[in-house]
Amino acid sequence: MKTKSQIQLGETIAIMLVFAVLVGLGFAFYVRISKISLQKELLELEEQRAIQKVQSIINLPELICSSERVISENCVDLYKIKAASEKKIFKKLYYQGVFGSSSINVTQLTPAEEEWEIYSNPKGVSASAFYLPVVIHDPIENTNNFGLIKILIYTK
Amino acid sequence: MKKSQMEMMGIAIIVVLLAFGLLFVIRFVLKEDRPETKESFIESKLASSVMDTLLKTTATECRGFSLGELIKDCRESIGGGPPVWTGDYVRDNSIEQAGGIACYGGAPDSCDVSLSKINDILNSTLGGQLRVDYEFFILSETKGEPCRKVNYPPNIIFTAGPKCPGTKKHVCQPWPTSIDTIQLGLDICSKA
Repeated sequence: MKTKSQIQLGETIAIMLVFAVLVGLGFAFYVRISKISLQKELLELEEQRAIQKVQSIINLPELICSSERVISENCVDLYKIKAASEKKIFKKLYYQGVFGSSSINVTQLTPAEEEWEIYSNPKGVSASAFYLPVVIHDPIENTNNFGLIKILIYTK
Repeated sequence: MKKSQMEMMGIAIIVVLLAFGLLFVIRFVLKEDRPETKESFIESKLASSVMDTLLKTTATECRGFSLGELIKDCRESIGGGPPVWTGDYVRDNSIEQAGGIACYGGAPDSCDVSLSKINDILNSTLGGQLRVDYEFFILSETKGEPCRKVNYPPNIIFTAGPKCPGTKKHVCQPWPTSIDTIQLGLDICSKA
């Protein structure tokens, strides 16, 4: 036979248990939401890094057009691209720090379609593609061709 | 502590917990969705760099003139009345060209060469590799808001690509000619 005080103790323990379960559920929910939010932030950060890479490519002195020390915006030199592709200048360790796990291809669409791979380091599972239209300047013929820089950025 | 005081404490704790829960829900439910950085960057950067690159591109079939120069010549050669070309490249033959660049040596054809080349480039890049919907258009000079299409009197000289039904990234480039300052517009449709 239980006494009144034992029943009251049981009630208190039950209330504490329910309270603990509620707090536990709330905490689990908070952790889950925080995790999702953190993953989103991480993705955003990775995308910002990817954009930085895209921006750095079109401003590389190794690729951009220049004439008498004047730099043309949104323009890459045809012969610099050919040299970068043939001599694989971006294979050096320094560029791996700049471009990381990505591959960069330049496609010329006019007058004739041509494609050059200038960097390739495909380490990662998924890849997001960025396309950037640029002028490909031929300094010998003095023509501007329509080109596309395709950057595949790999993420783990 | 009396029993009634204990109950009051309990209610206060429950109210505090509920308030925390409500704040938490409001914080996550009403949190404004930021536009995806990548999508936003791609669309805004894409529109401006496509326009910039397009106008600088050389038409090798037309004695080294750039597409920008050919568009200018096209406007100057067709005079005041704007004919309408579409993305399918249908030309209004009722309008005679009054001079201008002849790429192939015969009649002036700066309109034919520039507009078909723009159509081809946009088709293969935006429509092809990038698979985004777009609308490129050339308008004659209008007062007020730049790159605004008006029906009466019509100011559309050329259009290419499907229209954007929803949101879009827009770039408008004024292009001065001896007749008027035409407006070149490019809308990149946002992916749903």
